[in-house]
Amino acid sequence: MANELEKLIRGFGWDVVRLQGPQNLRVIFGLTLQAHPDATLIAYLGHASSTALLGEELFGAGLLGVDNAGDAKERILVGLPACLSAQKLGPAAVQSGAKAFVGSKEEMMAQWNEVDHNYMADWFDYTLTFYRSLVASMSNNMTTKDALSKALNDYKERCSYYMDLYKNHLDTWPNADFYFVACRQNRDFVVGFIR
Amino acid sequence: MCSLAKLVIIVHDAGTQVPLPYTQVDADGSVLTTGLDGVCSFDVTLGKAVVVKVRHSYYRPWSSTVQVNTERFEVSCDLEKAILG
Repeated sequence: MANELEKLIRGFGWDVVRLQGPQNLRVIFGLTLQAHPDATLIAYLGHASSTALLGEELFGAGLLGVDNAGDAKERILVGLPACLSAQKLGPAAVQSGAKAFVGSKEEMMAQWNEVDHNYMADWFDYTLTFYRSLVASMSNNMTTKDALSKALNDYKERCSYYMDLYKNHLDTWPNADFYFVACRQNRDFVVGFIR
Repeated sequence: MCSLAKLVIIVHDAGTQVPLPYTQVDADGSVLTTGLDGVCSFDVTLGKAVVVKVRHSYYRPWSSTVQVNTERFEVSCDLEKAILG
């Protein structure tokens, strides 16, 4: 998904600095932000808790936590897909100066390519719909508030589209029942905060 | 006259191999929940193909059609975590 996201963002003419796997440590993240003070968007895809985006620091304070949320000052921070981060990290980041935050208040669910249907492709599509909408709106000089609101709306509409698709195939796709619920979970608990 | 068979579903976490209790198992529309040992069993017709769906809200769904061709037919289901964490 990260590869697809990078391609998407570059397609709008934006530069992308990507931290992969073991690079996702707090010290590297902090230095990268210092090296790119004009960075607009921080997109995080990975493990998170209510208080932190964890990166490779699964058992520590995390890559970005409530204690160093100020590092995201003046940036738009998106934890999607990532679990729980909207519970405490989201409000803390915005209070510490982030322009905006988007994440989930609950666990987010993965979707797989099953025998009956490629649910993973749908998951990628509705997640990337959020980023595509956000970056397109910002590229068109829309305000952060309006861009975020539109992106969230587009994301939720796309989730709803797939929920309807799964509902209509409950009798023919054996796993559609589970993915209907997973998609609903991924839709309903994703929220945004704006400064 | 149909012979009955016991269809036994055994559910584990794929990563830890720990039994998964309180997991919903649907066998041709009959629904049971696994016990603390991750096991539940259904009485079915011997020789019948049964659609089995195993569901736990935090795990990847498991669905399959099994041919119950012995009097005690065991199916082992290892579920992968679905939450991203």
